[in-house]
Amino acid sequence: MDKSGGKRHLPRWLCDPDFKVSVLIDGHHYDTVALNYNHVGMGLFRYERLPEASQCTVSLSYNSDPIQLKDELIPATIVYANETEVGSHYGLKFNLETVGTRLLLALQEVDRLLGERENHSDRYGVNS
Amino acid sequence: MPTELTEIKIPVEKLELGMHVIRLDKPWEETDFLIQGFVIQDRKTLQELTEQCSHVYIEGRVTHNLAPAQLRTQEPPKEKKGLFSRFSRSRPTPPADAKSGKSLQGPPPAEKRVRYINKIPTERELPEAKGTYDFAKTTVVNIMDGIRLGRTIDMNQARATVTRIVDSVLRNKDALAWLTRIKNKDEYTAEHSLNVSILAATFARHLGHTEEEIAIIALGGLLHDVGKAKIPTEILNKEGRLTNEEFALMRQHAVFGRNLLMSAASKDKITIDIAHSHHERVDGKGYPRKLQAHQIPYYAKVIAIADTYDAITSNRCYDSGRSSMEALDIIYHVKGEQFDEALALEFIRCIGVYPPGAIVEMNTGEVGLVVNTHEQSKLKPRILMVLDKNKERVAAQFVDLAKISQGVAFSIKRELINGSHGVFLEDFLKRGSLFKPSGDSPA
Repeated sequence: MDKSGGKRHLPRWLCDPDFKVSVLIDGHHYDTVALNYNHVGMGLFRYERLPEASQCTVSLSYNSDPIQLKDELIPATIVYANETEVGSHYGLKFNLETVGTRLLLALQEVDRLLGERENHSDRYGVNS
Repeated sequence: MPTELTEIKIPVEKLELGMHVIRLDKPWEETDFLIQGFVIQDRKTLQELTEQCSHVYIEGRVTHNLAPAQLRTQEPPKEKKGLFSRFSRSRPTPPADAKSGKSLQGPPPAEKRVRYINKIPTERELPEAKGTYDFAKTTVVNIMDGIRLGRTIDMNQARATVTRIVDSVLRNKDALAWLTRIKNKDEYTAEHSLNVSILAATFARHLGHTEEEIAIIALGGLLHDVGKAKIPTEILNKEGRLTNEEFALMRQHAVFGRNLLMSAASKDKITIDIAHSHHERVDGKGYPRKLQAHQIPYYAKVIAIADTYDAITSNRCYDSGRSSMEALDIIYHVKGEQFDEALALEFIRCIGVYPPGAIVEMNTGEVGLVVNTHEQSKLKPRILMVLDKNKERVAAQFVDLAKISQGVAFSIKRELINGSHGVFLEDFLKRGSLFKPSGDSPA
């Protein structure tokens, strides 16, 4: 773990309900809850554990004007897995070197859009 | 009384490894055994029992220091759905009474909420809170060790500990919360139980519960995971990934906890319900009983959220904990499915993005510790600044972001993990820096 100043330098934006994410491991799809996102990676939560794996493929759909991504397959590395009695929390890093330019630009656009939409003084909208 | 915990008389020649001896056929003092009640761990102990006794009394269930595969063959105790939640359905908002099992359906309505204020500043409460935290941690360790040795849970000891926790939370909501941020992976089970108790008490205070209700919730938090004492320590402390069998066994702790609390001399029905139901989900997909939302006791819904928050932010033997924001992201996204939606949102309001004890980096690059938060402006806490923009140590000084004049661009950029840039919460606590403020900066 990076002890110099946190684990990542880019902020992860709170995913909105338009995210639909499943994880593909050994040919099986596992539905997950998309927690937070930037174009480099994302956080996922799942009540039941994923099978043990260090690599997976993320199937990402995001349909929110003006972006329309449907079942985009993104190779990813599972860099963090906290499997507890309350559910399992995973941190994924996209293997960007393996994705094409079109998808990379789309991922960056989702990042930009979420950043614009996030209320930076009230991430969860509970104080407004 | 569940039959699985009944004392069973057994001739010594029929004893086996893993059996839980709770009484001998003679006073303990007349034998060589130093500990009164234990699990038979080895052949030598078995031999000593055979030599010194003709029969002993064991707990009526084989203990779980055996291979998980063997454990799976045991039939789980039969479940009754909503044993005590019936009380909560039939009474709208009576005062809580843990012994009678009376419970609440939800947080108090606005007109009945108790409003609390911090009676003393965080830095003045911290030394007392530290003493309370250490005392309470010892209590939890004693309870867990005692269970492993065959003792029943001393509810009076637990209640006395909770009284100290609640007193501290009522004097100042931030001091004990601050201490929950210091995570020791080697003491996870004990610290987690205590942290959940503190977080739940703080949350109950935020919700406007009475002092008596806060104490009930805090007690439930303290003992919610007591069933883990029945899980082999090698599984609890395993550094690698748990096998599916081990994971399934871990999930039995809710049932183990209920059984243990049911066998306590002084039964506390709400605490039993909490231990049994804190992993139920409002969508009916939880465990162990897959209760529907209306069947889950309110107190268990409160504890479930605090439990998740601390579980995600805690260091485990296999990895470091995540930030408060990561935990809140989870609670936010699974509200309405895993957690009661209104309670989940209220918990997020209670904790705030930057809770007491968070290490934060400012937009200037400076680093500080969140000392306390303000109810009305959670994003503008009071901070102890400890590093300058070059990450060099500076004389610790308080800055209250809520008092900074508008137009001054000085705000929190992000939360850092404990240990970032060499800033460790425990160091500041040990050095007493928080207790010797050099005054608030005018900013």
